[in-house]
Amino acid sequence: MPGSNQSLITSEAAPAALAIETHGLTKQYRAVLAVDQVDLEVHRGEIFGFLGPNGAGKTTTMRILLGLIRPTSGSARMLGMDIRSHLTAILDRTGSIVENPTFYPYLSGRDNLRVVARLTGAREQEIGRVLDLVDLARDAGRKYRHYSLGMKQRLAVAGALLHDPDVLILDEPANGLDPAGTVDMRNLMRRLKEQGKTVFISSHVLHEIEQICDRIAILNQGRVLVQGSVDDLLSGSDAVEIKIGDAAAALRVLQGLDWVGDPRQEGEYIVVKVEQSRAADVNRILAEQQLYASEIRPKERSLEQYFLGLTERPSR
Amino acid sequence: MRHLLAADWLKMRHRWMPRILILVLVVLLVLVLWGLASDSSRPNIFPVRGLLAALLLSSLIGAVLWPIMAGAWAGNEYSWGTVRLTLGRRPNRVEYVLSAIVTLMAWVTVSLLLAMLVGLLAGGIAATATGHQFVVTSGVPADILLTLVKTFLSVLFVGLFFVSLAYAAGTIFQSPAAGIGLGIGLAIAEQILDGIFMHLGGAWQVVANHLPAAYIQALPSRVMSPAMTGSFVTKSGPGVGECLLGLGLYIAGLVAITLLVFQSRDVTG
Repeated sequence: MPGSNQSLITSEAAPAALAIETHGLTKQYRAVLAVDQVDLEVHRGEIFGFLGPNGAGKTTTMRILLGLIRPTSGSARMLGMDIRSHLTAILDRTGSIVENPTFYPYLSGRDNLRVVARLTGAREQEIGRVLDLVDLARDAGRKYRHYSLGMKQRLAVAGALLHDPDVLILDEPANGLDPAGTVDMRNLMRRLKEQGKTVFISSHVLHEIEQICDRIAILNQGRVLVQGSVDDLLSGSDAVEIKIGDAAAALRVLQGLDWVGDPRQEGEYIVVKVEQSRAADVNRILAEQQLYASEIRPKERSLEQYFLGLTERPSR
Repeated sequence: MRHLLAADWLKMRHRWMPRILILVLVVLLVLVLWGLASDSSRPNIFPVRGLLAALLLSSLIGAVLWPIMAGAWAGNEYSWGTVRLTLGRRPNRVEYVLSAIVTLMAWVTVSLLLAMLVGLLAGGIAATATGHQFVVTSGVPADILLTLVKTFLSVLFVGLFFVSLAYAAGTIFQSPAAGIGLGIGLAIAEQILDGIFMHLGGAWQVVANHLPAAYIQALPSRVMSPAMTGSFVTKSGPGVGECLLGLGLYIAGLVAITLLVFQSRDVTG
């Protein structure tokens, strides 16, 4: 499969359990390859983070899934249906925010949701419920053009939830939200997951993604670099941290070992690159030199470190 | 389609532009009828002939008003980005275009009905002010109601051409300014071309007779001419059947170009 040499899929799922599935999805704009052989598997009922630097192809992929852009090649299925032949049925069960929220500036927030309700066939009685959910009930009568960016974003979330969809495709939903709004958004995502909904979310706020997502994919220059559960990806570190009294002496010892990489001091710990299975050997060699570690542990990575490590080096 | 129509009509009802354009139509209509009340055409503005006059005048004023509405309607969906709001929920693009055109034509219909009401009142006032009854029946043909219906439909058909033209321009160039500008500009340019071709004569005159402007001018006049007196309407130019066919082909062509461009377009930005 093209591109699979760079993809790591850490868990398998039967096709029936997949909410979103793409194979070799590609979009070419003249000389620019915006999306390059993207294979994704988003399981039903999970929160899936879609990460990548600006211009990585995240929004283009989301637009393809929503039928706004036609792929150059490859295929995509949502809820078991092909997007080329069953787009209307798919969108009936999908809520979305793609890039900036877009509504009619001359309509109030409530009337914009009435437009969405008519488009989706949702009952207009649901409007009050979603307005309460995103805390916009008080401002629902104001014209959309007078809304702040955060209010626009919350209205977009309300619009996406109005017809009670099974899948949500949210492109940077926390854009423009204040810290309290960001926490509310995080809690909302968790509630949606509890209700069995699938959330496919892109965000630059990696800390948020790390907290709420079950699985992620990292995209760079249009290609999926890695895909898998957050726990699996972040625990795959090849470094250990050593807490020891005489750090300078320990560093000298470790620098003499050719199977230990890049020993350095980070705060009260020495960090070395070494396979986790050889941590005991490191401890033994230090002890032979009368250097006794009080603690040796695998170095945990944050999603941010992991993301930067992947995307800052060339992918091809 | 019903979902799109319901949403489009809600958008139309809450928008200020259609109301302002109808107000402009009413004001212009009153001014023109006021002017005609002291003219030799005066019998043609008394009810019930006045209803036909109001429709003919609306058709002329509509050449500017209908493109403003249709061009803005199509182009604003791109400038506001709301084309994504709709297509992300109702992806059938043929239905998207047809729903917009149907909604715009519903607005044109409402405008024409209001214009007829204004024509009735203004003509009635002019009639009573000049010593006639509110409704003047002398010399009015018996089949005036049928003529009225035919005229209404022919003016709507002419309106459909302007709506299709401006909607196509707004969609193709993804801009309200382009939609309005090209909608009105092409209509004016066509009048100029028509004049030049007619002046040149010969084969050029044949070409001029097949420009949309020729059909637009001829169709309502031809339909209502049996009911009108004097030189209020022109009786030259292509016949009714020729106008319907010619204009119909232009409208079909414009809608086809719109669909062709819109169907294959990536909605970005």
